[in-house]
Amino acid sequence: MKLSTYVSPDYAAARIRFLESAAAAGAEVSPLQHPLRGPADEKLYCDAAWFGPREAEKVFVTISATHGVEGFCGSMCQSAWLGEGLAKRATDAGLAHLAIHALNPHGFAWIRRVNEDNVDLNRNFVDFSKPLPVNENYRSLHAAICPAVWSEATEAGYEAAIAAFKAEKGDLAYRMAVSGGQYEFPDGIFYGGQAPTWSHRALRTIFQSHLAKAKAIGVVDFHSGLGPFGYGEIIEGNAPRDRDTWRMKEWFGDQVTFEDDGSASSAPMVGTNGTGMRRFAPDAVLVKVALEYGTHPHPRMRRALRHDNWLHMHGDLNGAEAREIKAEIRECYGPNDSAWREAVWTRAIEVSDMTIAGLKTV
Amino acid sequence: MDVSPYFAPDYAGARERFLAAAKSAGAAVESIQNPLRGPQGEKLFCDAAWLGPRDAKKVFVSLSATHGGEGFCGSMCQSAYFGRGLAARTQGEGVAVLALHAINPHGFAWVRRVTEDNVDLNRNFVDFEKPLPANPGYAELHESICPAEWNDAARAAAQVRLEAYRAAHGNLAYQIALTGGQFTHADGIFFGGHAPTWSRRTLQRTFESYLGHAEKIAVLDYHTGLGPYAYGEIIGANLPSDKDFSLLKQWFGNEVTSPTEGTSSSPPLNGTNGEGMRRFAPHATLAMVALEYGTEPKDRVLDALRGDAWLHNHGDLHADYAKAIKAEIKHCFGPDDTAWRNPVWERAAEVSARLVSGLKAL
Repeated sequence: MKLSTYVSPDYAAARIRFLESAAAAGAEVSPLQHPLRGPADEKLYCDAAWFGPREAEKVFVTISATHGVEGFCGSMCQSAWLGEGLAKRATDAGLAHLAIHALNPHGFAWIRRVNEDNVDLNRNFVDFSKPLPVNENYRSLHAAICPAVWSEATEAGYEAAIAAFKAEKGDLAYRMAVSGGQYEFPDGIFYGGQAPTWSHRALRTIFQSHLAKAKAIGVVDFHSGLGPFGYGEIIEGNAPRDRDTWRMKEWFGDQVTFEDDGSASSAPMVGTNGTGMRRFAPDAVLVKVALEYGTHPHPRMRRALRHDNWLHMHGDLNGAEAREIKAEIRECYGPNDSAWREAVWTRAIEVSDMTIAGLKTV
Repeated sequence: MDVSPYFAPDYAGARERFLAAAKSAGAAVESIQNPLRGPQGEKLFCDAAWLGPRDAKKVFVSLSATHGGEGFCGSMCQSAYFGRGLAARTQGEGVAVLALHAINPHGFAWVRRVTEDNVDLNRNFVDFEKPLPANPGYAELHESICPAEWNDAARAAAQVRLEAYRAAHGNLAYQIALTGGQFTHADGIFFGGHAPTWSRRTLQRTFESYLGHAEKIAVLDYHTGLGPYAYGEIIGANLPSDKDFSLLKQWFGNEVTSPTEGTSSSPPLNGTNGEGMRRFAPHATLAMVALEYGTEPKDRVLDALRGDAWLHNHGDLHADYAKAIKAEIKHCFGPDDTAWRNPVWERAAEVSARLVSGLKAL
């Protein structure tokens, strides 16, 4: 096979590739239309493709674009999996397969990590009827992280503020402050929102329509942007740990990492989609992992993310600067590098196979 | 004096006029940015302009653009209220003024009734923790209200089904089915949402930050699209069961109408912003009216909304037909006609004065 045939330049092309692959596999697709459009006014959908018997009790699930722009990576893997006939590996094991394509289509199309409401979907699954988590350290850094003006001077101010914070409170506190999630600054980064966002509700809808009868669910949620270039880290996603967390070691061995013991490349965070899935499937066996592919070094990633946030809050979306910012964030979350893609795809097969094998043992 | 200088061609122009008028009156303005942009890439804000002592016990509040494109009218009235010195005159009377400009800036900029998530803000203030109101009539008619095709044949076929429903169930049941609010069809019209939308949260935030200390509040919420051309109907937004409903009768006599009592051009609704404001200010004396200006006949306005819903769900936003659909809905929201605008403004000034003198007398 040629992996390049599954590589897409934008959301609309990725969706077509996915629908073609699902059709080739004989999967049944249910689209959910998003109320907004993409930058070329293209329509936006989250598509759920089901392969296998409707009444299957065990389901292997993949998700792309929880973080919009990371969908270039996840969509490629989902399309190749369906297009190359690998979904049969699930049915051969007595399972069904569900591929949730572009869970956050607005972020995917606009090449942003966040949703239309500037919400980080993977911080949005908190219980909004309770007081929201407070992140005082983010508050102290927000002005430096998200300046209204983007210049060498404000960048120097940012570097100085971060260095001072790390020196005083350490690296873990820094990571938790910035990326752990915050609910106070709607114009900030890693903002968890004030209400369930569209994609949160779409995931709930899909769980209700497709997984209500499932007794065991294994989920691989594709992410990119943390860790060594091309390596796919298996991060435990039943956060917080729950009654099925012990299965992680059974299924993935020592490769699985945890946010709460410092072994994962991601900081401890709140309101992840795993928290939501547990709520949507309270009685099922649920094993959810994030497959996190490394791309570029952390300072470059953080800068790209902050710059994109600045662009959408303060900048001119139609100018030359915008094109540069968009090219950079695109590269950061889905490098234009065939070796990276081959490594990603090989690892995707491996982790999918481990998940299917794990589900078989339940 | 012709009010036309305060009537803007688009959201950005309306905001400019409002900020200039508020400044000329000496009001303090806080701008709350919406995370999205308008059709030209322009930034979107709800602006809160406050005139008077911050600890004032009596506050006259006005709201524009609860229904996005209806903001052409409300913004004009708010700007003229500041620009022509009417706001300043309340200052000797112990009443502070709070004008919330473009509470739904996304709908205003895109010339839509709804917010960015296709939500009718004036149906969104339900309690989402409880079961949502059912609207079986809407569910039955949804496919006729929002057909997938928007051409003469499809519209005629849909019209037959709508008329059959009206004949079978009566006009009030028909109106409630269509416009009363529904919580089941996210791509439909008069959709109340599945979560509090940005504009609801912004209204709550401004109530909390500006009106926490206020003891007596009068609210004027500008609307258009129902009733006789250029006539402003005073619709009571307090429920008849509300402790302050009698104030409306006291202030406006037989002129004030009530959807619940069947005296209004509007049917009874679920989830209005009046419900929300009562929750945000539970202990205050709170008198709320919607000032509803007629534009075109009801069925024409409804068709404009249906066409716009079709356009954003199914159509090409750049096609020639898009321009026609947008021109029609803009006209239905606020005709570009001095013979419409001037009586609208005179009525606005009159109702504002009555609300202020009502507050004064309390």
